[in-house]
Amino acid sequence: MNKPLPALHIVNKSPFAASSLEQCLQRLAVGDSLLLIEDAVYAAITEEIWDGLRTQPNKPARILALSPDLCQRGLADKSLAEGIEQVDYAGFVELVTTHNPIHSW
Amino acid sequence: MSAKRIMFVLRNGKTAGPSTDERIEVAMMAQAFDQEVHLAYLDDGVFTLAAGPDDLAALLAKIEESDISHIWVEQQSLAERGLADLVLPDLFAVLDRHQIIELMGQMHMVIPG
Repeated sequence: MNKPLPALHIVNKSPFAASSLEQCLQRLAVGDSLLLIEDAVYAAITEEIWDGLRTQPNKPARILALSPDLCQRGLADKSLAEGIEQVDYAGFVELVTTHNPIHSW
Repeated sequence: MSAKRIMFVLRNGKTAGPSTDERIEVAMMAQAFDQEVHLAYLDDGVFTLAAGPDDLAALLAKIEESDISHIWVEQQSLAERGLADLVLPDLFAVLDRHQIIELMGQMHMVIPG
């Protein structure tokens, strides 16, 4: 079975309230991308969460945070953890079209 | 139309809401429409397999009736919850986390539960 596209993992819960992000990070394949939405964007401003991940071979190709959700939580002006990109709704749609499967945690 | 490979990921315990049972119902429907259905028990989802022999027998009867034959249980999830010695029916295959990741990547759809 071929794998034509990398997977997109979508996490929507705060890393301080649920273990979804941690459980997702344990199950990334090389080349996968990770999108933080809703309360999961709190992870984007917390550098410590990503420290261990950077040395792992399965670190995501891209980590993105949904900018409207950052704005809604008053985080628009905060600096994001190293390597995390902001993405708008159009970018969200583009991610969905360029990844498969899409896995919501 | 060729069959789609669909993985239903069951990550919640028995009391975390109706979603595990509902997901299995949906999975059975997908199987009835000749899709290639996979059930993956991860994280707290493995607790549903340890809820007792009656629950497991009911689940097994349901699954056997539906002809779902790809049922995976993550070994690390069992071990992290003290369930490494859990005896499961032959239909349930215990896989390493890396094997689960590889399988997930081969799916057309991954549906959380």
